[in-house]
Amino acid sequence: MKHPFLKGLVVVGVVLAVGGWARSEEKWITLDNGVHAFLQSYCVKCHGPEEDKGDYVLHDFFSRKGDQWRVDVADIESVYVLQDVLDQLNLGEMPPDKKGVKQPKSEEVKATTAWLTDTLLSLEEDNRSNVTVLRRLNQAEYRNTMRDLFGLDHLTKDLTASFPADDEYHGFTNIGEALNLSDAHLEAYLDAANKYVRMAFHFGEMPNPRRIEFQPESWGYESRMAVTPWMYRLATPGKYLDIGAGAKQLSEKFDLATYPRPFVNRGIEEAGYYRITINAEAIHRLTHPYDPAMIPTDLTPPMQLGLYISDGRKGIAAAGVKSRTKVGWWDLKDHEAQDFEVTVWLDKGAVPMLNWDNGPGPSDYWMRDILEKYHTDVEFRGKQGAHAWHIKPDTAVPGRIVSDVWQGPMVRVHEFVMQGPIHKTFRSRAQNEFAGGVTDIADLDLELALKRFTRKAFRRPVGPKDYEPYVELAERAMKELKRTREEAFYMALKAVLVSPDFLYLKETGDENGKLTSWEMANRLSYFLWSSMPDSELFGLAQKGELVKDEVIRQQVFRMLQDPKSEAFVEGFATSWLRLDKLGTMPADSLKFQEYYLHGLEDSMKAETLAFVGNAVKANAPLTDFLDSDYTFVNQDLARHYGIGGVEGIHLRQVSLPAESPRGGLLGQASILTLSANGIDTSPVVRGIWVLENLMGTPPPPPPPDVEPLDPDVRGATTIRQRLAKHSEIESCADCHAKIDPFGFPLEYFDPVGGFRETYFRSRRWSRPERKTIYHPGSPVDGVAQLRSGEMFSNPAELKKVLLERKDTFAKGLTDKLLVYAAGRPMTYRDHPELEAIAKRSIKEGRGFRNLIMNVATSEVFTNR
Amino acid sequence: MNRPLKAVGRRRFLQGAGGSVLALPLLESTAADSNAVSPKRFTATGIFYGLMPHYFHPEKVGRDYEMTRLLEPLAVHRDNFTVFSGLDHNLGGGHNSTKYFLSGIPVTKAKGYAEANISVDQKAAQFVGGETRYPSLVLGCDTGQEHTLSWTRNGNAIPMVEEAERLYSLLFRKDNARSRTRIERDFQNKQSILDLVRDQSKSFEKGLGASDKEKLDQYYTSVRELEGRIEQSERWLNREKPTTDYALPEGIDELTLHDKTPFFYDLMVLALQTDSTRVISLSFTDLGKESGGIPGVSTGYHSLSHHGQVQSVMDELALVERFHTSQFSRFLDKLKEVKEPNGETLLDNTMALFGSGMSNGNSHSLRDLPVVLAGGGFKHGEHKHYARNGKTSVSLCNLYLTMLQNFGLEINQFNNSTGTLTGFEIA
Repeated sequence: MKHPFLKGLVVVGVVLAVGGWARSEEKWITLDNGVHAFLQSYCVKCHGPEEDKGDYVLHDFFSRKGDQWRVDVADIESVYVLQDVLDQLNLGEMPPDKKGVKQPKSEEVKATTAWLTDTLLSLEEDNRSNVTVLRRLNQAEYRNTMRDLFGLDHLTKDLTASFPADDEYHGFTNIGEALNLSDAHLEAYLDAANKYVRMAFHFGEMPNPRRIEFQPESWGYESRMAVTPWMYRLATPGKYLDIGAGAKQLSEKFDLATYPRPFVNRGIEEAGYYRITINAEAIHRLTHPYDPAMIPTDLTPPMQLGLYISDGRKGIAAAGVKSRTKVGWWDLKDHEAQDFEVTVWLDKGAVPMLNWDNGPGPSDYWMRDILEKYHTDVEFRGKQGAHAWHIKPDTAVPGRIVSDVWQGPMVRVHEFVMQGPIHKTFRSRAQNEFAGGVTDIADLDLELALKRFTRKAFRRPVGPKDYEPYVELAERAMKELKRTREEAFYMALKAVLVSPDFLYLKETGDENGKLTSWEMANRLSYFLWSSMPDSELFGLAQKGELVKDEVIRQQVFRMLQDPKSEAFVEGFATSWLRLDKLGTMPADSLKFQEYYLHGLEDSMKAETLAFVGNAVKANAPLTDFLDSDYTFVNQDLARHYGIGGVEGIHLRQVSLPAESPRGGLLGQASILTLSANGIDTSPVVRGIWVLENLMGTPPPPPPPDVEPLDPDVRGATTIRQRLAKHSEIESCADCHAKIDPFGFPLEYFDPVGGFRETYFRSRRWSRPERKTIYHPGSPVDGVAQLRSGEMFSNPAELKKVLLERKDTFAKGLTDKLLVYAAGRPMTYRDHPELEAIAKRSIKEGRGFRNLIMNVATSEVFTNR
Repeated sequence: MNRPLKAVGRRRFLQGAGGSVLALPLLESTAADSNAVSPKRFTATGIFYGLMPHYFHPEKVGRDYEMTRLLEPLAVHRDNFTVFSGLDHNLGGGHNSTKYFLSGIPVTKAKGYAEANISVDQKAAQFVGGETRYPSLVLGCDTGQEHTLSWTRNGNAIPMVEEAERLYSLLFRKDNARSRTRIERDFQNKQSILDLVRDQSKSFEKGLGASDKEKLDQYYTSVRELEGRIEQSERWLNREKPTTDYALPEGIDELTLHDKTPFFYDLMVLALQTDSTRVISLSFTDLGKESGGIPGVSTGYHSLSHHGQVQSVMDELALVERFHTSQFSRFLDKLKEVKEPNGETLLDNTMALFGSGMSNGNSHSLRDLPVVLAGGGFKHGEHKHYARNGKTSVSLCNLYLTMLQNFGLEINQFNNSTGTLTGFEIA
């Protein structure tokens, strides 16, 4: 049995039980005499009055009544202790295999564990039912549900961005028990609902769409010495706009946005869907005459144009990262103009922005250097930060300016047109579906509209008592508050959207706790789409079909083919692998400039999602997560991994040579980065990550009175020497002997997942050389030994050891999937089922999709 | 809005921010009454990645303690503050511990407590209730919403106001009659909606299990609390906001941390002075753009906090940490400049707490937290050390309990307190 994770689970179980299990009452259970004797003989010496190892004392844990020993399990702490004892025995961790420690016979252990297991199970049976607690839609679920409810897609703003963060349980943000609701949530829901409703419905006249075309000169500057010595944005009136600089990420540090200047003052005047068309090409990507090394970007992949939408001026400001959204990105053809089109919702005030997304950064330095070397016929001035220059070669031709001579790579935009609000805005799906397509509010059948709306929003059949109160609300608003019919209708819709029927997933099940067909439709869709059911699921629910295994299997298969299943890949991978931590501890920008320069973080996350997504679609064996001979990279990641021959920004599957340290999750930069702190690496953190996420056996947290090590990087001490301190401290040694071995072989990866043979005394990005300059330090020492005696010393050997534990991995993954699918932690009672699912999936060939199907048809999933 | 914000040139303004800016009459109602008892105020500033212990804590205890590298900017206020050592929350290591600086309870452990992991500022805010326009202001300066200091008694983080301009509008922007009508209508709409969904919850409740009902209880509570907040806003909607000559420079929120922090503190002084609120928390995490614009600093705050005991890195980090103690010192200047109706200074009536929920960022140690408390009518001027008892530190919540009692609460327990803080008394 798996100790600490279960410990966490049981804690939750106990907390859940509090409602029906008053703390003030006592609940004594009598201890089996054999068990008491066992504890006395084998445990109390170290966990007793003489020593209190691990902060556990067992000698006064029991009290005596007559000739019986007993324990009060109404005290949660007592249940913890019993749980821990069982876990330690099951794991064979205790008593420790050390000199001088008395070892129990195996039948003694068996008898004790049997009693403990039965006792704990029955305690749980008595005190709680392992059902999913009423789940609130989390942020992603809310957002997706609104999208599908109203048919509002391609929004440029995340209307849930200001929601309070979802409560998390071991990385999962969809656990009913953990998710809270506060007045701040309700207020945010009211505000968001107001926005959605007003986007979805339009009554009255339909205005004619406008055509907004931007001329080159509104984006850039014309070629005049005074205003445009540089090639950032050059307008050739009546012809085209050239963009000669751009950056991988529009980061906080500088402002490279190209935006239409007069337009920015007002932005879009009428909100709605707009069709944006751009005609553009790449110029001089490979045909420029300069030394490629002087242009600080990699020009081997196609040049990429990014289209962003800014919220007024805010997103244009350098720091306005949160106020802009990328809505389009395209590879440009060389010297061949193409049309690109995107249809998106634009709010009032929205402003488009362009960026050369893999451009050479903002620096004027490199342009200056090129000019000095190649264009001695122009005089020019420049300035960056505190540095200014004025260069006037003797050979300068009077009147000739930079734009006359520049031949560097540029994005050339020939046409930029926005048309809208288009028809879709005013005759939206919601308007047709709920309002029967009427455009005069006087014609609206309030009752019918609200009946249709509640049915879809509540995701179940509704009767008059479900929707009539909302109709009455609208009528009261008109009569008593003198609201217009339109406003009253919106009030009713908003009320639906903040009602518990909408915000929570209610599951009552039948008398045996089995979910009804309607409830199954919701469970399946929130499991695989993080959103509401579609009409096919509703149809099957209506017919009562979703209680049949084969129907569920067909649906799972269908749903996983649907693009909406990306929500599952992202949601599950994020929870399971803790991808949410990526980027929370920023990488050192001097040491790891490439992380920012190449926007590696996005690529890293994309790799892992592509890997997990592929496992779903290809039904890849679970062992691929531990080791694989393929992965997914784009040009930037390939460079980071030292894989040649990969060009372009899109991810593609590549095969890995046998000697590659990549492959499997542990070869992925995302995992290696999120398990470091951006500055340095620690075998402890990575070891814990492996135990928790791959082996399903997270170690307990350190005792609170132990001070963490104070890193000291001045001397020549290695991480191994520093960690050796742990093994000198008794309370640390036991756990670290389990943790650290899984982290040491991963020391071959630096804090951003780059491979290294040695540590570095220093590591710094060199701007002139456009690469990282290293000063090697001591060699990496990845040697590790498990308690079992297995030794390994590098990532490849670690993966072998993990592959030998592939069944443990399968079980751990099943556990995580069940938690995600059912929205609740697993308990002891679920374990037989959990093991059966894992076993069945192993027998079926370990396919990931099979595992998902087995989860979806399991009792854990189909019961409350 | 009655009057557009004054557009003040940045240069002139920054000079202003350095000097005295607070020539502002108190609310009429209290200004005339010289016998008025000034209310107690409470502010808390939390610095996310700790303050280097060896540069923060004085060695000597008592009145003769030496000013340390980080405390030195506060030296001018020596008699008006106390520096504490030895206090902490008895928590194990972790990154996000400053989130629990003001409560002592990680959100994951909040379940066992009647008031969850309520933070000390919110406990004080509850006490103030509807007496001020805002029961509390929860602020963050270049912080990011996940790094909040303030938690409700239901275990929820309170979203922070992160823009100085928004804070300014909250305090001073006057709505005209038309927008007041609009806001009022909006309040009425919300009230009708909330009324209805509360009723609907009763039918929703059918068939739910016991633990489901606990969740639904949260829903009821939230509805009630939102209604309460709307009522509070409604009551204040037609009461005029105070008038001020103070203006923010244009683009204030685009300034670096270094340049905008003074404005946050100024607005805090104004908020207290005008009795718009009596409780404020302010969280600092990141340096934001240009490494915060702090002279001599060119690295990220997080990178610096992992200094690895390299001297040059510690020196750079000390610049960041000293920036914060200097700004806090400047805040105390301003609080002293404001005279209360009864002749006391605003500082006399304001408990201004400063510190971090982490002591040593390099190791993520949570022992022996750096804590300074200024003003509020206590006997100050000392370095007070509280020795550890075995494996247990004296709880920082003991200090919080002392502060809450001073604030007027009649309670004898706050979160994990074991009593009030011994030897720390009202002057």
